[in-house]
Amino acid sequence: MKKILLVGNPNTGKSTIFNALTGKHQHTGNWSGKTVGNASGIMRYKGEEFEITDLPGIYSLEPISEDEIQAVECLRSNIADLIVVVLDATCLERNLILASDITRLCTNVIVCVNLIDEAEKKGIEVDTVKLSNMLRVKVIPTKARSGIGIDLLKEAIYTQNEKCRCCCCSPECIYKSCVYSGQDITNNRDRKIDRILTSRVFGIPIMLFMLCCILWITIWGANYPSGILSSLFGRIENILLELFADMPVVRGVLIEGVFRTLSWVVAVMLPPMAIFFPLFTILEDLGYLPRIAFNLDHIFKKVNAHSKMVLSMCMGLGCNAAGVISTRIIESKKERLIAIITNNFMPCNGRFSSLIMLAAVFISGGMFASIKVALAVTAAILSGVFITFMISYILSNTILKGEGSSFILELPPYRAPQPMAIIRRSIRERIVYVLFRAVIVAAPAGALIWLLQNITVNDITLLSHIAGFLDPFARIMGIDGYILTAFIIGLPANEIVIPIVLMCYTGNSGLIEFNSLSELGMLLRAHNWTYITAICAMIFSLNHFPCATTLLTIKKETGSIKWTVLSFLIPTIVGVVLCILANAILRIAAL
Amino acid sequence: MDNAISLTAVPINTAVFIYDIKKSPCRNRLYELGFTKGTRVIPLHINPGKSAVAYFVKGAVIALRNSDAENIYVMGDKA
Ligand SMILES: Nc1nc2c(ncn2[C@@H]2O[C@H](COP(=O)(O)OP(=O)(O)OP(=O)(O)O)[C@@H](O)[C@H]2O)c(=O)[nH]1
Ligand SMILES: [Mg+2]
Repeated sequence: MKKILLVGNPNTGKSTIFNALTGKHQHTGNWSGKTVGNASGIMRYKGEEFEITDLPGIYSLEPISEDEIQAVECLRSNIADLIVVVLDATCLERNLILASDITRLCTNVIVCVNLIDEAEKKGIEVDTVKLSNMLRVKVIPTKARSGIGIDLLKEAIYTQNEKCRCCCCSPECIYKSCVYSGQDITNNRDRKIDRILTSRVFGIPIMLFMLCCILWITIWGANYPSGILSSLFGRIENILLELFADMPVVRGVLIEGVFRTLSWVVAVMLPPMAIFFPLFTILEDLGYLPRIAFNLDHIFKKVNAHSKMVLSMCMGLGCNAAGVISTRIIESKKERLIAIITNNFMPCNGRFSSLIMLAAVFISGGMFASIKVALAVTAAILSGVFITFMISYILSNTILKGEGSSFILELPPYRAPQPMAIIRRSIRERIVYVLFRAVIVAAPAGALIWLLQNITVNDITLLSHIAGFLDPFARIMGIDGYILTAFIIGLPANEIVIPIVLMCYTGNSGLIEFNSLSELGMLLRAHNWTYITAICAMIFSLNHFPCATTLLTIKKETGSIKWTVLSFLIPTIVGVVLCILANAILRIAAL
Repeated sequence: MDNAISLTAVPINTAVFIYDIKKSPCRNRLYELGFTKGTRVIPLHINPGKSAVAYFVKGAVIALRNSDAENIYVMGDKA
């Protein structure tokens, strides 16, 4: 089978082309550094199979950051039969430098000029025939996102056999003779948008406003599916309970344990995740994320961290393990470690649903409930950002001391997101993924909880023993033994923490039906929760040990037990200290 | 040349040409991104904290922190 590599500058559409060729679902996003590891897939064309590999973007053959090192190693190892160099038609002046370097290094090359649609809009014309003559390789123009030119590219890969002769023109010379650019540089659409979104007055307020809006839509939108799902599960549970009426243990473990926990995960945790994710992907595809880094650069400069951390923090909002992997784009080792250790201060999707739930405890229903909850969760996320800054500052002045950092980042053009593609991706990556995790993690946890609730030692259930043991300490932190137990059992996955808390409280009383998250908050209040309990639980949810998957990822990425342990300890200590402080202050204030 | 100035001193939307880049840890990265001698650069946006500026260079928009851009010397026309 022929091996084919996709190489090129970052953000030129390599992963989009890879997906079009192989039918796979490699992540794409409108910023440099979305892909940080190699991915392979099979392309079938006219009865033949080709192995296609998508590489992280590179700027030159001398790599600096971890993702680039991987790509260049793969390129230089000579394992490929054919290299497809993907170029951005709107940025050929720079892209051609890499293209001509690669034609010199490798003998079998095809050039693909992608993003032709954007070039046309910007008034840039590319003479691909002349380009092909000068580079002495096949040149295929494509619009990968709409699939135009992909068949030509397949055909070119299929028929390619000649070794190319070396090209002797300089990239500047090729650019001058093949590209005509009539683009308005200083006043085009992107510049007008950037003048607002990165402006001194509006830049940061707009950013906060967008965050708040997204959260509000998520919270408001999640109520409805949550209510429907919970009543649906309630009905199914009643039927199941009757079915297994004469098998108490099976009925207990499978229905009151496993099924009930699964239904909590799906009814309470899933809807906010399924709504937040596509909204966030819209921002990513628009190209907004690098602008956040640009807007906040001065703060990162003060705390001696790399502004590209913004990108890994944003990925962390989806999943902390993904956030940790995305730190590969940070060139300096020291700054990368700071980004890895602090990534957990950004609440991942699973914790994010918990925060919404918890905020609903102290914000009672009414007209503006969802707006108030949105503000509370925004405050929680901002406090996570603030703690990230503080910890970065402390780390960069103690154990991770080093040279002041540099900040070099591309601001991509704004691109219109594709709603259908985003919805399809959200269903695949959130709903299917969460359901999968629910089965793998929540089901055993549910069975475990039921057993703990029903096995008694000295007339007291095991769960009460454990919770009772943790209770004195938990009380100092403003929460109770059950909540702390739930956090510990939730180590494999954060999305099961709240369902476990609910399981502990609702024990033998059957599934409670509810119509909105606020109603669920009332349930907790009935179990002696006050606003202090909820706030401390929110603080601990935001600041505690990373989930098991994230810890394993940190171990893999840093290759060191020491940094993994620190990544576990630092957030936990911060969480415990903050909870104790918050509890003390709130209690004194309440007197 | 004496009339070369630092890139950070160039007003927004003014095209200038790179004359030299002083030795610094990020010089190689700047070269790869297209900040090479004779290249046209246009400052486009200043960030809210005034710590970085976005520049147009070789078809792309690239944000540089001022402490890095300081090392780039430019002139009003191609040398
Ligand atoms: N308009 C338009 N957009 C495109 C085209 N090809 C890709 N895109 C968009 O460009 C962005 C970047 O695409 P990716 O495939 O993630 O780019 P990449 O080269 O893999 O980027 P890195 O992994 O960061 O190196 C995405 O938002 C795509 O939707 C195209 O032909 N036209
Ligand atoms: Mg990619």
